[in-house]
Amino acid sequence: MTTVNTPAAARPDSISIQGAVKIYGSGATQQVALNNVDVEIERGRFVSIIGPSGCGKSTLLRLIAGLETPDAGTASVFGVSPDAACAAKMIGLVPQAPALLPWLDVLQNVSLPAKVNRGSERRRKRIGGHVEKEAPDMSALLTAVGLGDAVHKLPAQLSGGMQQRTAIVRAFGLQPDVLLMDEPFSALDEFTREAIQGQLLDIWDEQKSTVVFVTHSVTEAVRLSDTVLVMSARPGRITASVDITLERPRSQDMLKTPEFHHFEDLIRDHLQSAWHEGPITSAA
Amino acid sequence: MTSTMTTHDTPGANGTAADGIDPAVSAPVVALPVKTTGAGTRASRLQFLKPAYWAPVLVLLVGLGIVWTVVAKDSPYLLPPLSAVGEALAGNPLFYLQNAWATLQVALIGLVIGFVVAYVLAILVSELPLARRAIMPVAVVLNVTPLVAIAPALVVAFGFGPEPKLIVTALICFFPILIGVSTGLRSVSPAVLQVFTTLHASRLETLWHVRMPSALPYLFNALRIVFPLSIIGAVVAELAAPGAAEGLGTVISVASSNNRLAVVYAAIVCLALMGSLLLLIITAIENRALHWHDSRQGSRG
Ligand SMILES: Nc1ncnc2c1ncn2[C@@H]1O[C@H](COP(=O)(O)OP(=O)(O)OP(=O)(O)O)[C@@H](O)[C@H]1O
Ligand SMILES: [Mg+2]
Repeated sequence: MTTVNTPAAARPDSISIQGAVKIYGSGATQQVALNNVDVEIERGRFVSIIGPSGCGKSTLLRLIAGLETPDAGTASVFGVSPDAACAAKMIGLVPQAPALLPWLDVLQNVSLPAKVNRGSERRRKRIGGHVEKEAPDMSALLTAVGLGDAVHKLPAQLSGGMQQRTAIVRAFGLQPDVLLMDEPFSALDEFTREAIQGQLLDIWDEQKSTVVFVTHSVTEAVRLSDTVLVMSARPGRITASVDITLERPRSQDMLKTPEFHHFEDLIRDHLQSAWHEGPITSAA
Repeated sequence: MTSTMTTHDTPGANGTAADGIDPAVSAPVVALPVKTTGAGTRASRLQFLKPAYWAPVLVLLVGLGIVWTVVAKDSPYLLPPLSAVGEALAGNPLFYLQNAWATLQVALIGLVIGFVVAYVLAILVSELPLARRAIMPVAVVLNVTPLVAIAPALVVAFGFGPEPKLIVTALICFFPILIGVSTGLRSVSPAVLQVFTTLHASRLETLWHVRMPSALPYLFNALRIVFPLSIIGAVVAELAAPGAAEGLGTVISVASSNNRLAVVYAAIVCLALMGSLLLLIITAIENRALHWHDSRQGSRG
């Protein structure tokens, strides 16, 4: 676990996945979740991954987080292995479910990450690519996302949207070099979703972290991202990479502009061909 | 922007479905401020004052009392008159208090022993697969064995001292706690574990910050089963060691061999009160410790 296994091709200024293969199961039930995936995400970028269900988006995210090891190929996060990046608390994870601890109030929940893995600071300093930032004021961060009145509430007293914002603040509070988000807003209604997107962009802009964002929503991907990666299934692979050149900051009003629709259509086309290339047949 | 959101900030509107809250059950209680101290308990205490709350059980008790009295009148060797039971209690309260205290001590010490052993083993079992494979089968066999039956054997081995009673009580309390806590320790959702894995939290940190609090509801469930069991264990062990000096079990066995039914039932009344008291205490502690937990909301009352 503790061996820092730096891949040969590791780059200090990007998240780099090279020739990654991930196979689940064996024999007849074998499932190629990722087939020879190459991804290069530069520091500070907001990259979304979009694709049909089961194409391996979550698997790719877990690979970056060090929660899975590739069967072939390499993964590195700013020059070190994902495991070493986790040990230095360079990675923040926002899962699909908010995953808050129900016995802690909002402030305690977002403060808990600082209390575990105390040795991470030391390890962070040893990693060349890491950008030093001072610890944020959690209360201020909570206020910034509209949770100022809820700091002492328990998760059960919050709405789904407030819980998800808490989870985002918890991840951002670590000042991670990279924030991994797996469909964080999929359980939210459209309006809440758009509002939180705006808040996410604000924090991201302020903290200059790198975000890898899995989503099912084309609109969400276009609004948030610098680059959208389109994946297709069977086997899971990346079929297109679209740079979103819309200027920032991107307000809610921008969603209605023709340029915005242009990018949405572009990604829909890619998704459609991804769908035809790798149709989801009924699971064996 | 915020105003748009507040309209959707209804508790449990979305995303919380996975928690399995039944809105019909939790709805009236959600309105109670969970954090404010005592507001919820005060409301439920006031509920006790309403006749609708205590009348049914009162009617049932009076009915049972009448049946008892009728039966006791016809055949005093089946049931003693309630008045005789009352006189036995009132005539020598110190006697019952002393013996109840002796039994309670055995029950609680045995429970603490069983608790500590079971809790430590539960952590081992949930952290080490090897330990699980070694311990769980033995624990399961132990559970299906009627442990009270070994009380006489333990009396033969250890004599009339406290050891057999403590061992029986501890053994009886052991299994529910082991199962409850080990299940609870592993009840943490994968998403939470993934968050803590990416933080590189050590196993000890995950255990302390995540697993042990997660296991609390399971622990309290087990405790609610185990507190009454501990009294059963203590009494059965006392019954099996008739030469013992003190304890309500001893009182019962001595009194029944002397045909003093009123004393037997007076001791049983003491046991029932003791069990209820323990249950009340554990429920109070639980309500305090688990105010954050969903199940608290439905299971009140
Ligand atoms: N732990 C696992 N064991 C076995 N198979 C798995 C596992 N995790 C994922 N898979 C398989 O790998 C493939 C990719 O799964 P993944 O969860 O990455 O898809 P996804 O793109 O995130 O889908 P969705 O959009 O529905 O979340 C799927 O076919 C899935 O069945
Ligand atoms: Mg997924």
